[in-house]
Amino acid sequence: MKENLTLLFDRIDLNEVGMSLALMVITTVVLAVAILQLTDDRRFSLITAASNVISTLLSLLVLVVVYLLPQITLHNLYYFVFIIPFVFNVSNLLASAFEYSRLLSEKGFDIDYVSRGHFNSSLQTSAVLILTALTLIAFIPREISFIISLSLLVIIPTFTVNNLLIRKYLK
Amino acid sequence: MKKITPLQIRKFFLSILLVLLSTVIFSIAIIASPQSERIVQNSRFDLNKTEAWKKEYKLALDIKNEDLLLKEKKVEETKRIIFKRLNDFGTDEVTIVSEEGATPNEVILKVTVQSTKDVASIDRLVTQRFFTRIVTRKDGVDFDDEENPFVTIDPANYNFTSFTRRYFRSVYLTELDTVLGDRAYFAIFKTWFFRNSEFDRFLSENAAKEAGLAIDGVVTPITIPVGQATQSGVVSKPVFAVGLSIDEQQAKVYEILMNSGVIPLEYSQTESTELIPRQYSVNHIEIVLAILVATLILSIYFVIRKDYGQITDFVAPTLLLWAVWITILKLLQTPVDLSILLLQFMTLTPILSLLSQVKQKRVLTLIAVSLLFLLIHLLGIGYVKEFSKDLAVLTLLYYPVSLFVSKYINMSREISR
Repeated sequence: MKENLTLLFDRIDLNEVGMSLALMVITTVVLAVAILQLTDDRRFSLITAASNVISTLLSLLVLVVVYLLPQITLHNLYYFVFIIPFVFNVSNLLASAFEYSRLLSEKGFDIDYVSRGHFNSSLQTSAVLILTALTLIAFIPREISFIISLSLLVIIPTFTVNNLLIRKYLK
Repeated sequence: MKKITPLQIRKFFLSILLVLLSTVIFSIAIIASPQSERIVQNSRFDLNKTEAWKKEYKLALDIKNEDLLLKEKKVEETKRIIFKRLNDFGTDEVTIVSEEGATPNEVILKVTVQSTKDVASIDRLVTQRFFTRIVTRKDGVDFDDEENPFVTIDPANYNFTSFTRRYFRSVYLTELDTVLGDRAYFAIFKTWFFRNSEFDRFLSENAAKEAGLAIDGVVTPITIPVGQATQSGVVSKPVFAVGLSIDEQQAKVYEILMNSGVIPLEYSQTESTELIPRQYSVNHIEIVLAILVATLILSIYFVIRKDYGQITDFVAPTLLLWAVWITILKLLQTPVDLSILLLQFMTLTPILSLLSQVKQKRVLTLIAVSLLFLLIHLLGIGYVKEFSKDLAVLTLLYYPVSLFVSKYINMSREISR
């Protein structure tokens, strides 16, 4: 049992896991503080921070599962399966925070409009991402195509998670 | 005679400006295209990185009996320091696996490295423990003995001081003048503030005496410096600097070896095996073609959605941004990993689409995303380090490029009116 566990942990690069957790903590704290400063809305700040934590953990979980697949040869390139969705998620939350702070200052502010706007921009980004990724897959080696496809599969649920959270709790 | 209106004068100058700007865009497109270096004979350049190599090193760690209780901790510390050294040097891939040796006092480390960087430097980073200690000359040893050429480098001829690398806060490498008048890289040992007096006392007691810096059992002879009297009559503190190399690359290796931590175990290399590196066959032509096709498909998508604003606000600036970036890489002769370039394109393009939808505070959003990439670069390892560094620059570059495109389109519209 112990040997099996050791074998399992040998396949997971602890440097990468440590880096991922450090990135999650830093970006969550920065996002929460920045949004609180921008909007003075504690609820929105907490929802964004929670969304970042859940999405990052989801990406990390997929990375760990990928590393545990026996047919995967270990190398650092697979870390992109975590880093690409992470970058998308944080950028998406940042963009929604800046939009939210702008809308707050406008007349006739509608909270539902924020979540719909966020959903629309996420949808368009997903469309651009899928189109770009599918085009590139035709030109690149199979292993990198696999990394891109996996990243896509992680980005869509993480986007969905943060949209669901914002729509459910911001109303 | 027909009078020339100010509007016509403005249009005339705008046309000239537009021609110049079009020439700039056209030149960028030409330089960024594959095989364009063939036009200029004296600048032969290909975007591809040099050939990668892969090697597995086997290191035998020697665990002393008194260290057996802390064996696991010390092995982990050794792995961490070797990994940090290789990561700081910028190697693409590093895997370190430990396994039990033939006796309980031995642990084998298998270090697998894939890189395009200098093999000799990486050999040193992996195989040298680099345990440093300041030593003083033993009395009664004839250091001028011509029959023993190793007398000055043999640590048996020196007294060991307590000043090992652990004693110092950091080692700062800088380029200084040598006594021969040329330039070389020197290591300056920085002490912790609470240990200043002890080290200063050592320097003053041994001022102008011959001593040495022992590194892994070989001593580099040095002369302990003397404090210089200043104009006000106060004697300045001597700076303990050891000349290491005249080569910048070697100096960088020394800096990493000295500042990545002290490996707690003695070890030796038992074996090294050349492996076949994993490489991807992506070429410059495919990259450019992929970027052009992706841009075309995105344009069609926005036309179908009747969102023409996105073509001018996002698709055109993104295309120009990548053309500018490839041009910069070519002109600066910076080799890149083309598979990483593709991943960068796939990541940045949708993010720029997202950011182009931010109506206000766009600069602030771009700076925030750029800082995110910078954070990933600082914490990153392997390929991610290189990937995020370029993206931090590209995100910032997007703003002037999008401004340029928007001005260019406005000028074209004004002239055609």
